[in-house]
Amino acid sequence: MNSPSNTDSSNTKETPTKEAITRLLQSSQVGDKEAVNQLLPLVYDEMSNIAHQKLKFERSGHTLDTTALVHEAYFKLINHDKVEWKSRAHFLAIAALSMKRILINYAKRKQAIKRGGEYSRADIELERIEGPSQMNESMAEEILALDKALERMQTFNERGSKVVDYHFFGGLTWKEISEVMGIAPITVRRAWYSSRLWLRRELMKSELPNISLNRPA
Amino acid sequence: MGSKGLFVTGNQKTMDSDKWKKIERICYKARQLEGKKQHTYIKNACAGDDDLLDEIHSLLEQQDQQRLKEPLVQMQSSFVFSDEESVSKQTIGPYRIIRTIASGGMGNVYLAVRNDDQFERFVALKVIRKELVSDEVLNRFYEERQILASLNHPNIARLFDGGTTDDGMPWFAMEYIEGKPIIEYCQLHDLGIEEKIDLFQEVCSAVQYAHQNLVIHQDLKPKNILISPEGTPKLLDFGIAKLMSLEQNADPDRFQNKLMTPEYASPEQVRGRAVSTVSDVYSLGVLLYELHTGKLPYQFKEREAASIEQTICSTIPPPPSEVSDPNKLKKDLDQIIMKALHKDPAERYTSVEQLANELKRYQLDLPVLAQDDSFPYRATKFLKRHKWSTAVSVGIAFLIMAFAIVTYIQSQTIKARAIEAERQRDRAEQVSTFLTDLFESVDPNKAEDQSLSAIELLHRGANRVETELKNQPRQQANVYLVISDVYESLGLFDKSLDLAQKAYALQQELFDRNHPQVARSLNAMGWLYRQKGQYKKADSLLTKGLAMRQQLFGLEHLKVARSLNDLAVLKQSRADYAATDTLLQQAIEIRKALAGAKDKSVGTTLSNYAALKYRMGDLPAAEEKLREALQIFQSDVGNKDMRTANVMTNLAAVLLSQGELDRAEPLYRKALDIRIKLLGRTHPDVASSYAHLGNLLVYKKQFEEAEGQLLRALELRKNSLGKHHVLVGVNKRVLGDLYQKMGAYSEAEKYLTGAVKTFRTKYPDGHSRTAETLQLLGEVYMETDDPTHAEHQFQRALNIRLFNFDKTDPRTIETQLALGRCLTKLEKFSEAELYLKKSHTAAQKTKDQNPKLSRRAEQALIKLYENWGYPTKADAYRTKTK
Repeated sequence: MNSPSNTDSSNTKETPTKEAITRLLQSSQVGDKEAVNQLLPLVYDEMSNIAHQKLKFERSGHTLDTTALVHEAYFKLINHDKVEWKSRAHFLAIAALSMKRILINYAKRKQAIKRGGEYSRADIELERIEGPSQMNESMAEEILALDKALERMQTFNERGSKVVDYHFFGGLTWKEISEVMGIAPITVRRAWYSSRLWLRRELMKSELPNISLNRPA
Repeated sequence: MGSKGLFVTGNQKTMDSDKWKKIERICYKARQLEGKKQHTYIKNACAGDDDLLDEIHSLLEQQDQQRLKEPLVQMQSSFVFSDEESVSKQTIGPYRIIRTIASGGMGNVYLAVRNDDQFERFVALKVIRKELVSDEVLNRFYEERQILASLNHPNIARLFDGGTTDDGMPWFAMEYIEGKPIIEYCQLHDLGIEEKIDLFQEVCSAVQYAHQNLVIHQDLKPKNILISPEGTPKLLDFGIAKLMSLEQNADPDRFQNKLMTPEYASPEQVRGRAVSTVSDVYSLGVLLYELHTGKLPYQFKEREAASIEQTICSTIPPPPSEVSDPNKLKKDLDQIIMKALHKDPAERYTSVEQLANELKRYQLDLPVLAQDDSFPYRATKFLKRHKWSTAVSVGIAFLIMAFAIVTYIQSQTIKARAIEAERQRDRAEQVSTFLTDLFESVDPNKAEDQSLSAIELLHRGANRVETELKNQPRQQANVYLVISDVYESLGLFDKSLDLAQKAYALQQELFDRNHPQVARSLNAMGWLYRQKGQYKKADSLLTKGLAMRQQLFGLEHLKVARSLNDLAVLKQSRADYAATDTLLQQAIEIRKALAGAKDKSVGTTLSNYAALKYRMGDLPAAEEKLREALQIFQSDVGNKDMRTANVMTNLAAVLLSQGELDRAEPLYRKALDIRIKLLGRTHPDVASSYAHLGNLLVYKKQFEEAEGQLLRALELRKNSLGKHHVLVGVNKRVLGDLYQKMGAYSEAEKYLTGAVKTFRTKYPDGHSRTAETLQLLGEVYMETDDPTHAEHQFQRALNIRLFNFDKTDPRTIETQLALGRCLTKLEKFSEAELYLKKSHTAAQKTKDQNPKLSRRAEQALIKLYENWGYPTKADAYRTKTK
């Protein structure tokens, strides 16, 4: 066949770590914290590398479309033949945490730019990220406020703050979160319900005019 | 609700995780309630803790806010991970397009994914422009697709699927390979000659494999040979080239098109002549040339058909050693490559295997076959001898393809004949022993490490028996029963039953009515129906089996004891406890006498006997029998046997009934461990262990862990036993109970309704399980303030109770009491009075056993009269209670 071949060399990463990452992911389901700690930076790096191309801030509905971003990272990092549904949930969880970091870094940079840029020179991590110009200011503020509130909540409600990380920042389903955290779906739902109430109230307290994560139609 | 938000700051300082847990629980339950009810609930739940009360109200005020309502980020609807929300992306067949890999003249190549529930597959999806392919060619391709799809080799990208899009474009889904073309890969990694040859050998093995399956590639070139990051070559597009080239040959105008990459095409291909496996040998020769020299044998400056054809068919390329560093390449390699590149197909290596062997000889420094000094002379001579015609002969190519298919079918027939011949030989006895040995290693009681491949082995074995032992039905039946036993112990009841039935059918032809083997089949089938929950069928088969064995072996025989035991277990499932008792006692007697008091079989029957005693409420007797049984097993087989786990489970159940939760729990956990080790994670017995543990945890009020265990059990049981199995119903009932305790009423309703449905089909005459579940369901409706629905459930429950038990049974009283309270709430006072009085009278009769019950009946009556407007009557009961 004369038509183009199956390869996509521009997007193909010569990565000996792929196997390693797959293995890590498999062990992370067995609850190996170390594995998660090793995976997170890898996934974060990969995702922030592609973020500026793939992360779309024009939202479809009310959510950020990170599909392409997550997909790309998943595809590059994981040997998908060897990964079953459970591992995918674990990957998604790690992607959610990465996503949160990326968004927070965007937001910080956005604010740094607003304040005059002293932030951006100092932080190499942020230097790589090109997206913040697309993030609107109110979103940046809201994300930072939420992050702070989450930190406060963590002191007495660790489970809830994890559930929020996974569901809100990662869009994981109850079932996926239940798989990842090893707790029952109803427990996840319950944790989400009250944590959300608490966070809403916190955000109200720090209320800044006209911000809402609920995007106008 | 005003500005209670101001309380927040103060409370937050004192917030700790214990308090938060309370808040979580109360808020979650409160969200299902409304207005005054919610208020009352929260007030009661806070039990005077005003801080808590304020905090909860303050939080619930946030309920209607939009913020944080849905995830900020959408990943679950990504096509990679889920198909829950079908994103409106382009799909082709069952595949969703992710992105374009490449597009070209022939069509596009996409990265696509297929995901079903637990399954995900990435593919390279090629869509071919319709106008380039005729229907006829396409149909032939589809015919051949089965063969292509059967190519299963680690170095060949699989063809998974193919079809036509809605607008009629043919597509194929192939294994998606991430990798680099072989030449690029070798340069990138700077591979040496030896390494290149090693890699090339792998390519050869793949091509050779395809040839053995009568598939010719026809378009071998670096772009179609990718090396994965791990260094494994993968060949793409097997058989697809044929589709293309055929079509192009059919249309002389598109001749140009075909020659887009003519560098790897053999003379016969360029001329449109019949291609064969040696055409692939030629292309491999070109590849080898390029691998070692970095250059192609022919360079085409003009892309003009006639000149290209001229070059390929009549120019002899310079030997590889001349175009590369002469010190690097030995002359032998030159000869090998040039022989592969011979213009005359008959002068090339006759197969890829031969080429590969030759390379191996070269690597081992052995003399190669191609060593022939007169090669250039002979080649030239050949060219003079043959005047190639330029006619494009489509017919021949078609013939070749048809031939390939015919040959494929023939080869299958030959294989079948060979099997036939083997079967003629009388080796059935051997087969039987062989299979028995083989499968015993799969029996979880014998093998500690059960692997999936062992089960596969079993399936394969079962299929082999079907064909290979066709002419020895007697042996065939025996082996079926052996495999059936193993399937049964693996929990694969349907497969097991299927084989037992096959065995029985064979035996019907072979034997008179009574025969030990027939009895064995009957017993096996009966037991399996019991396992599947079809008790009526099970009963008649087991009874028949027992009678046959008693006739054949006499009353005292170990086989008879086995039948007695099995039938007893069934009788107990059917709640015929008297029969169970007799049968088990007989079985124990026979086994003790013939096998010895310490034999495992005695342990098994003792354990069953204990289960009966337990069922009949004689807990101390049950515990005693179980301890005896456990001792027998532990001294004999230790903790690595199913029976040990079974006895532990039963003992735990007895302890649980005696309220000894803490002594029961470790036994359940240990039993679960043993079962997982022996049976894997999906066996129905493992599901039972999860369910038991979950049930216990409900009693211990560890609801969250309980939920996890119970849900796991339910899922496993649905999968292994089917959705309508009694145990699925039981499991749902326990879950419903749990959710009610957790305050998740809609979940509770869902599971309880499901359980009732199961029980009603299983026990059309009514069963105490159905009644229990209906009563629970009624209570759920009461909790959610829906007495109308509750009444219905209680009525149904009571009907069954009265049918099963007499009026003074505490279970009957409980149901009447519940119904009475419900009717009070509905303000159907006179009806309520009727039931409450009945329950009170009955409760007073059994006051000694259950003093609380009569007190509760009195309280219900007091409430009734108060609401009804008869305070004096209420007072009368008040004095009674005191």
